[in-house]
Amino acid sequence: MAQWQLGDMSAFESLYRENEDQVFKTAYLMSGSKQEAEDICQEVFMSVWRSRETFDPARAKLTTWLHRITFNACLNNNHRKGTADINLEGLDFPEPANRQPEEIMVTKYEYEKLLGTLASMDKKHRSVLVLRYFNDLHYSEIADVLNIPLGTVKSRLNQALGCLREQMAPEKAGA
Amino acid sequence: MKCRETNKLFTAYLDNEVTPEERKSVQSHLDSCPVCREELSALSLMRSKIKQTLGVAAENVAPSPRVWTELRQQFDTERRIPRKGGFKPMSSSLSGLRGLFSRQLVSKPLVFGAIAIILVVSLSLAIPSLFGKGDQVLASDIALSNPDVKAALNGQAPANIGMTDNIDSAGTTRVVLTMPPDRVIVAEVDMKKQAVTSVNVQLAADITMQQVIDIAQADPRVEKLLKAGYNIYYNNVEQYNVSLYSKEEITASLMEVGITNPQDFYGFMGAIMLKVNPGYDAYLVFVNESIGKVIGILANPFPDGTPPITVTAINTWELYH
Repeated sequence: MAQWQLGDMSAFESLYRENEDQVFKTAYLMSGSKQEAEDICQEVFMSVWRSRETFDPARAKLTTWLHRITFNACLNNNHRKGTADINLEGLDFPEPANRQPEEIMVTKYEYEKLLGTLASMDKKHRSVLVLRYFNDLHYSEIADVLNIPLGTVKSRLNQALGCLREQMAPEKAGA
Repeated sequence: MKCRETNKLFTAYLDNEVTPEERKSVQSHLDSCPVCREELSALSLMRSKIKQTLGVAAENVAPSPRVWTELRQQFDTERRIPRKGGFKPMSSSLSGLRGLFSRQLVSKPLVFGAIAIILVVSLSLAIPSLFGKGDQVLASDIALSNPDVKAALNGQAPANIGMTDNIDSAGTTRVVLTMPPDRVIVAEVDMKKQAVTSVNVQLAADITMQQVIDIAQADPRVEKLLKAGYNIYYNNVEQYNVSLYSKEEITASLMEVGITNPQDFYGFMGAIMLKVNPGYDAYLVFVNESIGKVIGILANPFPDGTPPITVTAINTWELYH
């Protein structure tokens, strides 16, 4: 067992420091609110601490386990907030001058439009998008985190990307 | 392979998540279908854009230091309240006090900013503790050896044993035995006679909001607030529901608003809000139904401007020490 699993608080703090950013950002993309993301982050690490003895590295990677707890918290978040609306508040789109030329692919308009579509998407589809294209997980890992069949991961990703494409179609984009 | 079947594989194809056979089929179809080539190209661009959008959106956000600070406080609290054997953490969220309540009562945010002071009227009972550890053990032994209590236990061990931290003027104390998933056994113990005088079984299904209100109203501090113009605030009795929360959740939630005396958290608990209407002042009154008393009153619990919570109840199995 790792030190943090044995209740060593400084080891647990190290684990927190190594993973807080990822958990928080994921929660932020899922909830759309920094405040909510902080609450979820706290909830996740509280769950990790409480169930530290149950984690078995032979059965799952720590990151997969953390993702699972994070998404459980995100998906169960509605009862607390009372709304499923995402509200990615105060987002700053980096100006091209501050970005590498090769990065400039999505325009500010597209960025806002994509976030809007993401916000209106149900959490099931948002989850697979975030896990695949932000957390960079393989499909089998996504299936494991969300406890859904591999085929469902594929169909949800297809549907989610299809939905984004539809919303970004030229006639809808007003271009 | 037809266009439609091929299209279904495009996302997985771009993500390198197709089998070698599927990849071969897709490539073969693409060689002969310009429409699908265009579709794949558009999907590939969309895939890159969503990746970039998610990356940019999350780029400049980070959790505040308060997340760790508050976690540490909660860990420290839990360490002071060691787990009982066999306790399993609940899967439900640690959502803070606000999460224990549904937020339907007030639609407009009330401005607590002007008040912005947390005034804890009473964090614990103002009754001097006449009750030593030895008395608690004795009361618990008297209760557990009583035939009526044994019958109510029906061969099961209580998950927790809690009791009032005092003996009242008649020399009586109450021992509360929690029996998940839905029962609390309350034994009144006459400490002078060292005998159980009554045994009551409370069922979660039988708890009503009126009981919470009655207990709250009997408290002189609440009575004073009611006389001063505060109203008991709740939507309707149906709003009252009993939910299961873990000891840690309740403890952490109540500590969040300043109630720091976990000794009182066992059996069934409820809460009501007292509020001046119209007005911004609010008090939260926490009631332990199993022992029939108010365990704490908190003034202006949400000074950050968060809308106050509606009335509901907390079932605190697992809450005892």
